Amino acid sequence: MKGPISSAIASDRDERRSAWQVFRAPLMIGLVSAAGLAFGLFGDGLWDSLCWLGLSVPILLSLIHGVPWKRSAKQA
Amino acid sequence: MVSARATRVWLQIHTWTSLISMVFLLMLCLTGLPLIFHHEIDELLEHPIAAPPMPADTPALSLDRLIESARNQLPSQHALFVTLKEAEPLVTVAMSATAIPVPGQFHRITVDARTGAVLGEEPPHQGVMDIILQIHRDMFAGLPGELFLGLMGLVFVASIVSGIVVYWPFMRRLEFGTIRDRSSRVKWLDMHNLLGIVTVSWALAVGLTGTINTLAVPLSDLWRAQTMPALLAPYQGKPIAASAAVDAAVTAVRQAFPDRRVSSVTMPTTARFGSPQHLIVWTKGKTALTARMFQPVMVDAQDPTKLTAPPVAWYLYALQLSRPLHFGDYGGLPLKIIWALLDIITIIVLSSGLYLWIAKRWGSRKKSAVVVGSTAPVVVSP
Repeated sequence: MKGPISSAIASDRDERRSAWQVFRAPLMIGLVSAAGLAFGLFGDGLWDSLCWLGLSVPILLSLIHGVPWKRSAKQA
Repeated sequence: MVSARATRVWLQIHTWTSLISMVFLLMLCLTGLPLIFHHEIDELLEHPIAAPPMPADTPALSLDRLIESARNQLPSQHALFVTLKEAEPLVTVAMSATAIPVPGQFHRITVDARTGAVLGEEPPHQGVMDIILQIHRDMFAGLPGELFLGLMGLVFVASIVSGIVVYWPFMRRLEFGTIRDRSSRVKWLDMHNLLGIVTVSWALAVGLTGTINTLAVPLSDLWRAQTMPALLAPYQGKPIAASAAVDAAVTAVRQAFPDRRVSSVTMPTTARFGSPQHLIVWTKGKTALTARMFQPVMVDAQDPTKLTAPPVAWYLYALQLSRPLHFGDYGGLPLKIIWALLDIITIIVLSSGLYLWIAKRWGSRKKSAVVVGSTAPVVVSP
């Protein structure tokens, strides 16, 4: 393996995280969005609102972490 | 603990399942985006026939009288289906020049349920959205195309599962959500990992239900083959019932199934979707969950007291439940917007994955060329 991808996998034994530590956040997000998917089927009104809420979580996290405003703010 | 060797195998699985399904998934995501708003776009492009305003308690005429109105409009044609609009006092009668209809050769006559006036004919559906839908469903290749896309859905699911497995070794030293600025490749690797992992539930749901939807035709055929022959055997070869009291049949079904709503009626027909001696009254539930569960009731065309409700197979329930979860049409406009955003995120995940693969191959080859010389080596990635 070559390049930055392999360096992201290998070495650095000091700060390794366990499977639980790595998957804790994704698991929560997955459960919340799966619940959102299901809630919308149960009914209208409140159920629909819960559905929108649950499925907004992956979108909001994509925006919070994926859009570079934080990093440019740090550098400034 | 995933060993380095196992990681390499999973990474290979992730790479190749993704590459195999890539072109088709990009096509599905791009055509799916406008299809999420199918209903809204249709309403914007076409002008649906609306019922003229009348007092809300104006009684409706009998269905037989409304079908008569449609028949008077096209006297030489066969009435095949009657659809009862839920939101408006309108009834649409599907007419065909041939007893066994040719797809796309329907006339859909809309009749005002209160006056019996023919309000117009819905245009045959062959607009831009229908072309997009057909590309999305079967790429103009019929059932084989549909089943092939279903297989691609399964390959996509394999790519998601292997993606979850390799997420761990990649993220072992990183906080959730970290996007490193080190290089374009590292930045897009982190982005691919982040956007991919947060959308896993949604992508799995839409991928799996999409695959189930591709089985709609074979599953309906299977159900018909398992259910109908026994029910229809006594009527086989008999001519089409001369007259059928549609209103009496619908009233009988409403009385027998008070918790269900009548959505459409299939007239007696020799075509394979119906019976020559029965009206098939299609009902659905009244709650949000059961509104997508269709149950047919066969009503004897001569004697509306003779009802038969063939039990619906479990796989048809699965099919009916898969539709909303694929289309995202069960939570109003906000859910459609969420569906579209998640679709766009998936497009970013797909294209960043493709970029990472190309960058790795191209990058490695360039580096090897510097070391080894001009003999371009076969790069065994990763």
